[in-house]
Amino acid sequence: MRRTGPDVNFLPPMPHYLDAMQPSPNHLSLLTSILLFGALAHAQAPSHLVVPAAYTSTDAVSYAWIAGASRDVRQQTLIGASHLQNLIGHPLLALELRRTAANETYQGGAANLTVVLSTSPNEPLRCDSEFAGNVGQDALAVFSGTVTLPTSPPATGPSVAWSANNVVRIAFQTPFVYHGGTLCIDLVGQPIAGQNANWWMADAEFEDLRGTAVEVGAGCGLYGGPQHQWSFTSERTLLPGAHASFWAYGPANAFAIAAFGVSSPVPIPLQSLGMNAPGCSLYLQPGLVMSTQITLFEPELHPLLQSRGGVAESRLRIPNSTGMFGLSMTTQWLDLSQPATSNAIQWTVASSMPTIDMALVDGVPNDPRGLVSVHHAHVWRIEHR
Amino acid sequence: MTPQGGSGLRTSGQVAPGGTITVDIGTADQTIEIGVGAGETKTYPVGPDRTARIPVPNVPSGTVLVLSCGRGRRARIVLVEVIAP
Repeated sequence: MRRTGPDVNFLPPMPHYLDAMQPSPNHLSLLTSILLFGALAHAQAPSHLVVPAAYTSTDAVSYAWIAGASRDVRQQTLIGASHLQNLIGHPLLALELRRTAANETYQGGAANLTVVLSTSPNEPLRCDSEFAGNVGQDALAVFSGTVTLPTSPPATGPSVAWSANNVVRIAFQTPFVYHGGTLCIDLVGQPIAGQNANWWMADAEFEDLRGTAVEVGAGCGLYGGPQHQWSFTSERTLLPGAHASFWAYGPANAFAIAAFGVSSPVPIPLQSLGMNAPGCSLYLQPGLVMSTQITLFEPELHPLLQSRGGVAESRLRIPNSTGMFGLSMTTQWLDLSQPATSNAIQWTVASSMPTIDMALVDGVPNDPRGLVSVHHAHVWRIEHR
Repeated sequence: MTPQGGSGLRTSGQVAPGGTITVDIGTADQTIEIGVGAGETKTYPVGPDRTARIPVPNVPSGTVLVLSCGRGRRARIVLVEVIAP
């Protein structure tokens, strides 16, 4: 229905001096065009989302390097859906990493990067240590080329701006439409000769969780110095949803067995088990060994590390279940070549779940596997429309 | 010996006996290892600030200590020289 005079009467009388300001039909058309253009421009203007949102303007507690800044590195980040609800159905246009707060200038450089986005089949707390296992079927190469790491002046925080000097920006050549689920950001970076940025650290979240590890008995044999301590774990990996890491040193290329079970209240001499290994003891109850893994003491590849011997490694995926809270086991290694037993470590899983809803897999481009962190990940800014 | 960093690790490059080696760790590793002698390696945790503080082992001045994170192709190293006090 067309509005007529009576409605206008609800307006107060207009002063005469405003008559000249009343819009003519031409003015109306121009005004409408400006408003329409403004609305369209607003609709088209990119928006930004920082993950985790708590660090939109504030520096996070930690940092991490950037693939390709100075070395060949592959970094896969899984971002849980809880961070991304506002992006569903939106095209993602660019990614940015902000420098961490530090009272130092970061010298700039450049890196070659390829970036693939996908919807991961894994939530962050089910992250796979194999890169391929985290990549979704909708994988899309969104960028391949050179990115600039700007020379960045000191930024002491706690607030650090997303300004050009503070940011490594990856503007996509092909947008990726986010349809929900875990977003996988897969970066493969290669340094450019003469343009290395040797210490350009990006801001990163770090959730201060850890399990515990206690030595329950000494080792024997040729490794580990006077204490024969040649078996280790990382307390930061003893988290629900994490990949617990255990490793031991021994003669390169010899066989090693990692045994997981329940501690023995008293050491059991290997000689009592028929093995000629004086001074070596088992610290696990033989009937309560729940898992064993045979592996090699792999020779270190770096020449400066070869004097340490070989390294055997065992990773144990801890389910992201509250049932894992406080779970305790003991790990001990057996070097079959000497033979010798390691120091035994009784370890306990943390009694809380990581909550950052992100995971980082850090590795090198030609390795199928990387190191998984479920409590430490870059702070990302996602540009979207 | 100059400070390093390109490997993802950096230190002051030199340290006195009885002192502490401060290492900044840019990689994602949760531990850092130091070779103390043949076949002897010690491990130290890396916290949220990504800095590890490692007591200088009892070695003669002039010894170059090798600190590392990761293994295999992921291994990253940084060197520290123990100098006379």
